[in-house]
Amino acid sequence: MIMKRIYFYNFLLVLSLVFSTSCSKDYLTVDRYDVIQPEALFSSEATIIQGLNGVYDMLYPDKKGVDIQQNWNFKPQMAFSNYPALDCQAMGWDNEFTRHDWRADKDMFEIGWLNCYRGVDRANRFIAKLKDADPAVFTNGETTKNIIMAEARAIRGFFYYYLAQNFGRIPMLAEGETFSNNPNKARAATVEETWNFVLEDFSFAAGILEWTPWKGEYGRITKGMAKAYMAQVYMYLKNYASAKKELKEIIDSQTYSLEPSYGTIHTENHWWARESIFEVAFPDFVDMGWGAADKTDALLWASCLTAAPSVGGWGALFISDEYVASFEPGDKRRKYSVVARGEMNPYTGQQMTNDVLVTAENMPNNYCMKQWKRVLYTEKIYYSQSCVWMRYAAVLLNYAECLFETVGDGADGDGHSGWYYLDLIRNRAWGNLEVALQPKFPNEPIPYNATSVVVPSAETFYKSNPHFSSYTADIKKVAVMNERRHEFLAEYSFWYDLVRTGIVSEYLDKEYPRNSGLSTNRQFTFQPFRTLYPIPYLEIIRNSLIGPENQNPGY
Amino acid sequence: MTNFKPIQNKSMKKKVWDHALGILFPGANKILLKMKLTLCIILFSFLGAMATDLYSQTTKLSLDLKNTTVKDVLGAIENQSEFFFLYSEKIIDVNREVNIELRGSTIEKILDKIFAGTNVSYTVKGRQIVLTTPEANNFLGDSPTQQQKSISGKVTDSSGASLPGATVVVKGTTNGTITDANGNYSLSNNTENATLQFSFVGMKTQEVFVGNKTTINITMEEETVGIEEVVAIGYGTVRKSDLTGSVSSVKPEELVKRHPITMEQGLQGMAAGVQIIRTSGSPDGGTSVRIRGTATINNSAEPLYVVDGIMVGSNASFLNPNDIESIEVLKDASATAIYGARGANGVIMITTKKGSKGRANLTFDASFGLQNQNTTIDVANAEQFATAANNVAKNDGTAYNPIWANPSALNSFDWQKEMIRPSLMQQYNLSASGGSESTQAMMSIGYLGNEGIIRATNFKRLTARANISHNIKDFIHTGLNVSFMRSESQGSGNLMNYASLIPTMDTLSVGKLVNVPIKYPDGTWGHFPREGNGFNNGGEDNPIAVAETADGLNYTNRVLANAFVEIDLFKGLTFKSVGGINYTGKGDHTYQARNFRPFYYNPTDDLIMNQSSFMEYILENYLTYNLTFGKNRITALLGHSVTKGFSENINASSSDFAVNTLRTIGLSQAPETIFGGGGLGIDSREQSFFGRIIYSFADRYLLTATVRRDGSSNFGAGNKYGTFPSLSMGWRISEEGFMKDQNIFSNLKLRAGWGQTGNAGNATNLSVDQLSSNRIAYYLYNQTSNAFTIAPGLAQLSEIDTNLKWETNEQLNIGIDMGFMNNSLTFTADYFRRDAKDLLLYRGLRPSTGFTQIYTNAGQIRNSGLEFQIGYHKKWNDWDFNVNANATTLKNEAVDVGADIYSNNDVGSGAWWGSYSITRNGFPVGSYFGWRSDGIYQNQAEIDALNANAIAKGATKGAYQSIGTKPGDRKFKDLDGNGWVDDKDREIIGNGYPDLTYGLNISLSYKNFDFNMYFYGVAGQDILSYSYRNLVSFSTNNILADYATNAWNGEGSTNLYPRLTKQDLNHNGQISDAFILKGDFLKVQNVQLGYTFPKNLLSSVKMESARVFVSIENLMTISKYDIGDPEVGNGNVQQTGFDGGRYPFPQTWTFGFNFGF
Repeated sequence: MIMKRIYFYNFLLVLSLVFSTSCSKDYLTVDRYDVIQPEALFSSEATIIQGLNGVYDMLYPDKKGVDIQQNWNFKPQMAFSNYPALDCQAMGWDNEFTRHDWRADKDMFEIGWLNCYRGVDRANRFIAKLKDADPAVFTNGETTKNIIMAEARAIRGFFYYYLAQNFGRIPMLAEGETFSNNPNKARAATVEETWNFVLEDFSFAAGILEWTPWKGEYGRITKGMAKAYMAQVYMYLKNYASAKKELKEIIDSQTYSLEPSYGTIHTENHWWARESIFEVAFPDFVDMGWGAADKTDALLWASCLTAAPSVGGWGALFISDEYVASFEPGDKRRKYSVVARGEMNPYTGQQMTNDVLVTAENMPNNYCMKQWKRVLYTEKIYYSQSCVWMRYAAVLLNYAECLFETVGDGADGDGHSGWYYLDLIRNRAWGNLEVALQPKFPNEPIPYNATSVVVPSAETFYKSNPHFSSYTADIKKVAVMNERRHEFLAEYSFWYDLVRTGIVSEYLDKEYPRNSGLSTNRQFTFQPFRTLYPIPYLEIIRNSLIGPENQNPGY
Repeated sequence: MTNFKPIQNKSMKKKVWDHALGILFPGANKILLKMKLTLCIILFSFLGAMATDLYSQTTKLSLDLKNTTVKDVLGAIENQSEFFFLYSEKIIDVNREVNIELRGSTIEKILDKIFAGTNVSYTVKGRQIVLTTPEANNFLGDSPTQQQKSISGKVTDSSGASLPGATVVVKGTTNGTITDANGNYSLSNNTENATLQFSFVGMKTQEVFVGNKTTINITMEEETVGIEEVVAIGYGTVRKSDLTGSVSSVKPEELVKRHPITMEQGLQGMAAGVQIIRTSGSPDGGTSVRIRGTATINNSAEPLYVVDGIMVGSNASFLNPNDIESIEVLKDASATAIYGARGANGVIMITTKKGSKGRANLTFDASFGLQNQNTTIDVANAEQFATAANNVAKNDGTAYNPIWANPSALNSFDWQKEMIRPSLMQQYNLSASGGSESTQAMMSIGYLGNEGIIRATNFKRLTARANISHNIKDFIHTGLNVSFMRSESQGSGNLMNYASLIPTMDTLSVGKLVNVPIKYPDGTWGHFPREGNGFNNGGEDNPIAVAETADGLNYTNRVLANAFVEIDLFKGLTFKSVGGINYTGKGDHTYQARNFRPFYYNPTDDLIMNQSSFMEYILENYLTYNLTFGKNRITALLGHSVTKGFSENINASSSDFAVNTLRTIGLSQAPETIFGGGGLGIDSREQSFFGRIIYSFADRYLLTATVRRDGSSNFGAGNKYGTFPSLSMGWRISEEGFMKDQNIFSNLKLRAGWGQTGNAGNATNLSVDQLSSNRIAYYLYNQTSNAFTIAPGLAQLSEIDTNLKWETNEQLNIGIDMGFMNNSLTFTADYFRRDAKDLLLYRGLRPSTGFTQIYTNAGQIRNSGLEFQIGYHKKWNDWDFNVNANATTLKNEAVDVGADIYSNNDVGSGAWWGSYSITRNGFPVGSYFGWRSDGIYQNQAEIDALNANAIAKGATKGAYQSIGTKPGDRKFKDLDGNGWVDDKDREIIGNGYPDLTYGLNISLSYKNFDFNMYFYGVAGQDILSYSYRNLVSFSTNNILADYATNAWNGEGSTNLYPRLTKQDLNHNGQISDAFILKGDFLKVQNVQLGYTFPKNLLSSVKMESARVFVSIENLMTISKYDIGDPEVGNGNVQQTGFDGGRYPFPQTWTFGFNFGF
């Protein structure tokens, strides 16, 4: 029994030791190895810039995300801005855009919407904290703080712009508004509310930022970018005078000029060229197979999406026969943009068949080459190229539209009418800026113009062309529309411009007559409600302040 | 129509036996050699340790004892050696004192010395020594006038093994004997009116009237497992009669008879309230276990496994089922509350086999199973498919595939048949156990080799275990349990993928059809036409080539070890300290060779390697106090537990190797592709205090009260701790005086309990504000240097709830236990209501927050149901009959989850199945959400009328459903009555919870034959079949043969299948009740016939026992569901009843044997 008692006392000793060590209140506090304490962010300029980079990051795809997130900058963009106009067509899941039969539960709407709001949320969180940041932590005090604020606000403006452009009235989240304090959020009462908010962000940025990017780092928002988007917003608001002012400032700044050869605008490893106002660069720093998506987000497989299915393309981009046939003779944009049936892709040497329609879904046998200048899969899958969101050519065409809207055939302060600016675009399109130019890239497969050619004046051409004259819309509007059509194939604007300028219905009837196109068999009747995309289904079922009754009409 | 699924067809049978012969006869293949080698290694290593025959001659003992009783001397010998004595104190005078002083003597010498001068004789048999006297064999009767006679016989146990040391006494006298090493006894000078009494520890005492018999052989039966059985509960045991909670005990020997790959598999259908769904027929045997329903949404709903007192997490597949001694399923909160925040999903307590004092034994069992396909999906052959495809082109007005122009000329593959092969499963287990008074040990090793029935899949598992316990003093006990498991698996597969693959790879060359084989004679693989026209999927590959050229391996190493010390401090007061480690190391590598078969090929070859490890330390200390006074019996428990878990992972990859045999990341020829990643995982710590009182008064009134306070590092600062109490009571009515005289109940007990448990979810950091740098970067360009710099960024990647805390489960249980006919017939019924509150879930957010979800506490789920378990045992003559049946009803309901929670896991973007799973208040978790179908449009007039009405009511889309709707398309219901069909016409269209789950086990034995049958079934189950959807929707995939030939093709042709269309402008394939199929099934899960060899045959080969058996697993499924097996589910609670296809369940014919030495 005495022995047992000794054991008992020993046991109590051990027990008390165990309790005293394990019961310390810190025992349940553990180190976190994969997250960062948020307090650290606003302690220095370097970390604040990292926060800004985090906002910029939203311009990139999420390669860990679902299909559409992986193809941000291509798939939803192409679908929303091009497919409904029928020059660009897709097969398979996305064919419904070409049929004007899209529904609110289409994943593209949900993901596009989510990505933009993720950008807005990041910017909002960053801006809210930045406002409180002590200017003393910045090398140049308030100046640096303002630059960072301007860039962040412009990115927020960019995402809101994209949302309003696609969906109309949208929920507007102010800084500090998160799920925690606003589980539900109603749509703005008017789309103007959004446009004005966006204008504020861009005008703040335009007032702070320089024409050249901060620290010479291309990729950052510039005054030019902010002003170009401000002008777009003004045009949505039909405030052409203000838009014209912003655009003219961009032109007068002489920061930008047209790329001499249209063919080099979309080329691999061709970054932030003179025509680029805003682009998202995919430098493609790894050269890997499909597994590369596990490692970085800066990967673009646009060539897979745009190449002909006969050589391994995935069927996301077919160009209509109507489009191919719509060019004037001499317009080199046709050759630079499209490899048509029976032709050879001059960059890859791959021959297209003579079939009019291809694939099980009878798609037109023409392809865009802007992102297809290399034989697929042979060396690599990813494409080192930029997605160009805003080019100087758009500024010129927008300016032309504003001039036409404000002074008709009249001239601006420099004595130029809108037609003059269309001619600038056409002059480059016919190759006249290539004359005497050394090809930027060796073995340029489409020869540069050796001598100047005569470019039909835009005014003469459009006013005398029976097809365009047959439009009931003003011929100036038709001319701008048609130049945009040829200039921005498979870029990010054509459908929106058709919708914004109110010419969309007539455009479809003229260029894609029902049941009697060249090869596009348009069966649907255009319905005006399709000028806005539906509020994503998931937003409606998860946001109690947006019910089915608040959906955009028609969906 | 009900399909009685045949075992297999004739040609398949032939294939099976061809394969079997190949394996079993010389010259066949390497498998046999492998089996032999494995067997030899196992045998040699164990036999070395168990060389028993030489033991008595080689063992030398030393004793120096003065004035010590014979009993203590024998004890000293047992302590010093592995010998153990069998004797009866009635016969041997063990209190006689002796002096022994011997050095290095054999046992015989010592025994001669001890019993010198007495008439005691001994027999040494291995380690076993039987003591007896001539008197015991030469009994002199009380009455010399009566006729005296000799009686002899043999005592065996129920398995037929001889029972040495059993006592045979003439009733009412002190005279008798004990059986010798072979179980034989002999008593002379008996009277005819004597009664012999046979007894043995743990066996029922039997009495036999001598009469005129001269030979009396007795088979001793184990004591009936009655209400005095002891069951394991957390941190202790309790007499079954004192149990107030709901606990199901499963006999491991029943489970092991089915030769399951994992313990969970064998548990299927064995216990009420425990639903086991086999998630896959893959060779590693995946299962999903639900105890009393699903009460969580995003976290694991798997129960907690406690192995030898150590909480090991939600998976016990590392255990060798043969090592299991007992399984207790703790179901209600009063039983599980002692595990607090880990107990919400129920607890499965497993105790592994331990060595016992006395007899050493060695058992070896082996089984060989031949597996084959049990299920096929009846899809179109190439001719049917191509004909359908041509009809699709006609219907859609799209292009014909020129390759399929002549369907009958196509080379057709049945991919399911090509991908499935007969395969071998082999299992070997060897275990040895035994022990002395102070030390007992059990050791085992097991090997499982399971080739999957899908090509190039296999699973190997090696398990080893040592359980040792040792008494240091009579009040200090220690022990160590160590187990190791290594598993390796290769390959995977899904029958659905093969069924839906286009059944031909033919192509055109210069306009002529070329029949493409699976493999060309030169060894190159056939492949699908390399075209991107949308006829094939450009990424599709020849599955045989993929399987046969795959190179990869997944492995897991698992170590579970614990050591304990137990000190009896005072009478009734015991302190126990248990320390344990729980280690899992996993890894995999995959090498993907360059190949140009698919159209969208990968230009590089890739090597990917991953490794991860998880380690958990556990320390638990607790005091147990047992006190009995008067009619009161109290067991009290007080304890403390801490755990600490941490993990790490590392992964690396690179591409582009000089040759396809290199498996070294650094040898890539493209160094820029070398990638390394990984890091430390989330640390997880827990600290708990717990206590319990079990009180019994007069064996009638029972009470159990438990409380546990748990703290976890997972949660927000203010919510780290949670308290989980429980209280339950029992009333044993059958012990009441007023029930004593009744002849109906041998047991009648009422139980009621209430309690709370928790669910802490997985280790998480989603309770702290955070930023991440995970792949957040921007790319800035310098025009001068024409170079980019990466601008790293920080951002918030998750919406955070800093108030995160436990899920709480509150459970009410009312039960009744009944026993009739001396408990030959038992019946148990339980009603439970389980409310899970503050669910830890990923709540879906409006996408306009920028996030899709937040991990938070919200809502309440209720599971309620009834459980029944009935058992009947009858023994007569040479027959023994046992039947156990159980049934469970379950109602699952999301009581309050706030806004609807949606999921769309495992469906393709183009399938129109977004948000098919919904969790909505008032409905089961993960209900099906979709449109209501209303047959097929039979003519244009029907469509026109609906369209006109829709337009009149303002349908801006200009149609009732779609402007592309044509006759033959599926019609959907306009539920909101607005005139047309849109998103608002979706509703809850069903759920995947069966109304009833049941199991039935029957065992019957006659003499040495035993026969077992296991049935398992569910009733009232609706399957949401994505597989069916894909097989009745024409895309770049194959379809059901029935659909290919019987699709709608004109008015009145069918109201089941829509027309053949690929465009599907009407969205015939969108989520609707057309894809909900009846999933009721009854499975004859296992049938087994065994034969136990009689003992007398075995003694000549020095064997204790031997049994052979044949069994068939997965014999037959009776179900209407014919898109693969109706047993569906992948463990995700939001996909309950969802069928997206899986690895098919094999049918296994097993032959096996078991030897005991």
